[in-house]
Amino acid sequence: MELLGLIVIIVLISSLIGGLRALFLPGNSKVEDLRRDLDFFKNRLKRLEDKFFAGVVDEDEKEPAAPEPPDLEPYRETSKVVTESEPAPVEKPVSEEIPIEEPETEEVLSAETPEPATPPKLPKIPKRVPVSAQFKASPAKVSSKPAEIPVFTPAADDSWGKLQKRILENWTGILGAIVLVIGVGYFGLYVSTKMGPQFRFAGILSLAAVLGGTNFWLKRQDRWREFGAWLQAVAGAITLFACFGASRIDALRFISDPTTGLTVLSLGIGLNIFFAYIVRAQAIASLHVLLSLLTLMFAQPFTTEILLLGTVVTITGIGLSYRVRWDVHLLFCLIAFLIFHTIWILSDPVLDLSIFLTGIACIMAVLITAGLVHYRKEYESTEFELLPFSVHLFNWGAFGANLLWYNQHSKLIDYILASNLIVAILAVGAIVATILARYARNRGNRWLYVTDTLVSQTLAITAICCLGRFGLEYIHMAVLVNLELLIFNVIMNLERERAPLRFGYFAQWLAIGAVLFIGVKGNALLNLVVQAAPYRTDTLISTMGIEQLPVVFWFCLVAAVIFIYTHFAQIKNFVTDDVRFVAYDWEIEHKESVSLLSWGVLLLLFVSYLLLCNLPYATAIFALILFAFFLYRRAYGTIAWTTGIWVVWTFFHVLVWYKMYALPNTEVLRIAAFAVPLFILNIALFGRRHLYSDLLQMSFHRLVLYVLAAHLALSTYLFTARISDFVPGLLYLLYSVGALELSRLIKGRKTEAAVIKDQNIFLHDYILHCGYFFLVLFLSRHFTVHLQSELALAVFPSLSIRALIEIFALGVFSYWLVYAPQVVTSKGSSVNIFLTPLILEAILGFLAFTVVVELETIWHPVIWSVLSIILISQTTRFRWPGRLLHYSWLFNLASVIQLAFVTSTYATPATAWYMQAMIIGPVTIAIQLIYVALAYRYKYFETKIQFPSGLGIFRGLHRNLVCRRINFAIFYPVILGIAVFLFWRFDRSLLTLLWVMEIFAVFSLGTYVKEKHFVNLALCALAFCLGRLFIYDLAETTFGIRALVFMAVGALMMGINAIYLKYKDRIGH
Amino acid sequence: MMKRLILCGVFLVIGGLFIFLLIREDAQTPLQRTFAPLFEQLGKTTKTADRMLSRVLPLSDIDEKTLGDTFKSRFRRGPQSDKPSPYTPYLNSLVRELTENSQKPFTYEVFVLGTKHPNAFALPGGVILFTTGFLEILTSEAQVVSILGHEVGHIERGHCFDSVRFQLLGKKFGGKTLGWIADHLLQSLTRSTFSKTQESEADDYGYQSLLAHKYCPREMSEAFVNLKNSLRNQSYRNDVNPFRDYFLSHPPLELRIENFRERANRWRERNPDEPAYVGTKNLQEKKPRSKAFYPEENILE
Repeated sequence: MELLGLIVIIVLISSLIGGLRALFLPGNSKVEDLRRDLDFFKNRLKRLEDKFFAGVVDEDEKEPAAPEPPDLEPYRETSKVVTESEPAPVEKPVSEEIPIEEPETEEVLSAETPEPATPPKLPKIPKRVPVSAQFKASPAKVSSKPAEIPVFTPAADDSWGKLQKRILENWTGILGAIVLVIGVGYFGLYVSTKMGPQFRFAGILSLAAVLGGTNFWLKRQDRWREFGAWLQAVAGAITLFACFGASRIDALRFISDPTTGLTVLSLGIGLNIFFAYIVRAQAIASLHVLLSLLTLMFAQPFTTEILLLGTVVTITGIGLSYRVRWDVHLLFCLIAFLIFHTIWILSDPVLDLSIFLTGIACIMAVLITAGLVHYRKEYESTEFELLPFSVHLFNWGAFGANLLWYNQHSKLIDYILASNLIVAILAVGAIVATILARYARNRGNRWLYVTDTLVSQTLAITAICCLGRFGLEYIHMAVLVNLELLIFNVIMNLERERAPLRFGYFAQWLAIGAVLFIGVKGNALLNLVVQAAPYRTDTLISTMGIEQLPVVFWFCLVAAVIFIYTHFAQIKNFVTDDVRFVAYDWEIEHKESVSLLSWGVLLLLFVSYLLLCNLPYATAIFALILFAFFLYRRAYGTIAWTTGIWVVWTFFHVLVWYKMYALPNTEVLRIAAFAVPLFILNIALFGRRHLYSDLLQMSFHRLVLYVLAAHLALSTYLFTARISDFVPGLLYLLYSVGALELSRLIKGRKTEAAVIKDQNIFLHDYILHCGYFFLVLFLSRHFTVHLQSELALAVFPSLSIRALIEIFALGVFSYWLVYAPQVVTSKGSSVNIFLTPLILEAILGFLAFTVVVELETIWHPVIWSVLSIILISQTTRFRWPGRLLHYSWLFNLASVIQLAFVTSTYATPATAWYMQAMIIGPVTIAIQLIYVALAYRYKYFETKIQFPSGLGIFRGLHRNLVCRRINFAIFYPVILGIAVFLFWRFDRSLLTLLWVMEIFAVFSLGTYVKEKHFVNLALCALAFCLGRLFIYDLAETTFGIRALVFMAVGALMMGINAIYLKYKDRIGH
Repeated sequence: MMKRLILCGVFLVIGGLFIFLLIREDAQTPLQRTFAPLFEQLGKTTKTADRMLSRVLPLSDIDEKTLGDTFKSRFRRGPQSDKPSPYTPYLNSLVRELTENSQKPFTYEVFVLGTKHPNAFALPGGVILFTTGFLEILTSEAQVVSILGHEVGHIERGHCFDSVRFQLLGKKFGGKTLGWIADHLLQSLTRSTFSKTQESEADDYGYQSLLAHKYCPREMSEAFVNLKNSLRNQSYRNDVNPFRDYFLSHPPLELRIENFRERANRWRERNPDEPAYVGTKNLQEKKPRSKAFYPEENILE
């Protein structure tokens, strides 16, 4: 087993050596490559310059001036071909180096270039063809002279060359070292079977000595110096192995005393450290230190002495970085020590106070040693450097993490003492880091200053976060962090340090978020929203109340302090915490800044209100605070304050409305506690000119007014719906009248010019919008609430409440119809200009709807006919809008359709006369005929009618149908409707008689209105009826009916004849 | 100016007075909000268009009667004819009285289905189906008449005819299946728009039937109350859902109850001395009023 362990260790060491070489050498190799490339190109450039200025070709040009790197072989080959064939033209010495696509290179150039003085040995390539051009040239051209012009694939060759170089330069050495160590292992294996441990130990040491001695011989020669250094490293490793094995590996053990064993091991380690000191290669030095620590890790038991020894080794190793700037070595030392220390921790040491303090001391010693490296002169730089920065940050991180571990595992010592200790250490660390940062800044080391400043802030915040051990709650610590960061931001602002300030602002945002998160206990905010559902009101009440006061106090404290900061930041012209500054380092003007701190203040206050909103005065107080912020915004407003305040104002409304809606209607006082402050706030805001925002280029008067109207509507609903479902709708109607009157009042008080000057040009228009809003609310309420009920008041038992409301609404609509147009001006709101003319249509529509709802279907055609008569006869008389004539036609058409298709087959069991289609139908017919008479007699439809915008369909219908084809629009529908009604309603045996009666009426009407067309149609129809009389009635009807029909038809025809004879002049016969 | 202000004042006074009266009488609606009545009113337009279509087709009541006779013969041969319900003669007696002056030229006939679920249907050609479940929840003859009147209303006002017109047309001209498809297609597309309108018209017909035959009008509302209690459906008072309201086939029962109760109250206000017949005993004994008139059932309340 020991042998196996030995082999494993040897292989491990070998691999480590190889890995380190592989890690370090490629970098060196690259640097070397670059250096060679640079030399090569310098030489080329120099030669070209010489050619350019001399104007002749230097003879030396034909031979390479300097050794060229192996991977530039392709270039060299090309160069050779060119220089040996022909010198480059003087006129374009450099530009020709740039790749040019030359598809016909050979022919063209041979014609242009003069013949050379001496016959060339190589084929002519008259012009330099760059490498890339050669790649792009056609294969046929290139391969035409395969022997002379080498075709190569530079990418593949380049990679292969690099690989070859890397293997030759690095991995041969590494593999060689590995093979050598394995050989030593085998040698040891062999020796172990033949000799005692002392001799084995001596043998291994001898081998190490041989290797070390070889180094002394090799280092005299430059080309073997590096190899010799590696042999020395191997010698150190072998020595270390032997010293380790002398007391800890069975096959080599000859020392039984632990102290002696440790001493021998220390000697081995010392030798390695010495080798690390004398060697100039960073990788080998790191190897020695790492091997030393690795050996100590395997040295069981892991005693405090081992820890101390490891600490000394690490400090010594780190000390090497003081001599020369070895960043990677430093990083490896730190990592190795942290692993070493972790293994010590995992060995579960008995942590009494002395060991506890020893551990802390070791950590501090190593990390302080490492940290102080960067304050040396070598690291002074105003530029940011990633590797030192990373190492430094890692160092500090390791410092904090290890201290945290000691803090966590301090159970064997006094808890309070440990707590105090750790907080004190963190605090001291923060102070030290601050001092170091300032020291670095004084020395001109900017990156170190920034790093240490950030570290100091981190330590300070960590220290505050550890105060929980002293009984502080999370919220208290979060508040303290906020205050600490605020102080930091003030200092950074005063010192104009932008980089730490960006961090400070970012941390401050997080800290505000932390305060909010802790304050509302994470998901409690979500719960608040969920619990705000109406059916969870009780839960809501229990969670949002007086018990939240302590949290709210801290919220308000943080908000107040940050508010003071933002205020003075503006006055003192501090850099604002705009997102663009933190993210991209753009300095933004205060007026244009989007300050998250400003929003944070408002958010904290809003959440405070959210937590306390169930308290009776919470809404009032918050409304007052919000109003104060509006005043503040006017004086010191930035875009952040402006937007933030309006956003909070919006959310405030949403929350209040939601709460109002969620509360039971019986909770009048509680609803009032929400509703009244909001109402007062908006009234107060409405009266303020500063609502106009220069930044957002808009006036919020309009918004406030609309919200006021919405709040009034909601409050009305919540307060009155519980009393009666009908009341809100009625109040909306009254509000609309009030809005109309208010609009008139405001418009009347100022001349138009004055109103424009005050930026309140449309104020009366906005109020009119609110009036329309209330009308719409009434309609929605009417359609969804009033319409369902047949309930009647005791004082008006014959009419339903719904009908009374409809009558009242029609009155209000009429009031709007008469007075609203006087408020609307051509310069006013387009909404009003569009809507106001349509009030007339709204009234007619509502009237028709009311008729449909309130009256039996049988009465509808009568009502439509009466309405059509009223509209056609009174429009001209009272100078109503001309489009009412068009609507009269529509009503008449509706009456015709209803009569023909509904009344004609209407069935009812009712026995009352006014419910019988037999009576209602003829009445309707009579009114329809009167309508026709009026329409033709007074020719109402011969003039064109104006329609407001939005009613284009009516305009087209009127112009294209009613005006141009009045017979089709009015006359024929009525006549056909009557005929259909008679057909469906009455017995077929009487149909001829009834139709002749209709013809008689039409004939009479034609005579009255002097329409020859009517008379002609009547005569045609009469002919049809006579035919039916003789064909159908004679065959199908009974004697009695037949007699009646014949007599009546005969009488009617005689009547027609009499009328014709008397009035034939009127119809032009 | 003065005229306008006076007018404005008048509005405010009338509005205030109105609100005062509403508060005093604690006037509340059956449902907090519903779109059903609005859809019912809007459906009148589409129903009129639907009727126009029926009127222009070359069909008459005779065609409907023929279809009805087919239904009747089928139901007479059906399982219910093996064990006739005791309600059948009673209901047929009632429906004959109701349809004495009907417009349609066919004889109405009622069939009782032995189903527990309370329901009643009307089919074209004067066929009415009544479930025993429905008859068991009704408590008076007036309630039975109101439901019968409702179903007769569907037939008399052409709702049943409108739903089979293309089928009839197809039968007449040799394309029955095509007509059936056309009817179903049109029904599925348009029925939701006016089904509540049709039901409301049928309700109105039923109510008018009660009044015309001197039955107590309040019993219609009571019939709906009984139906609602048997269905145990949830109240929608605090729930508003326009989609649900649109696709409802009938107006909500809460509205039907309140509407007919109010109309009955209004009728009583106008006719305080006119007795109206309830007929609880008649239903129990399955004897129509024309055969067994109980004076105590003729009440003024």
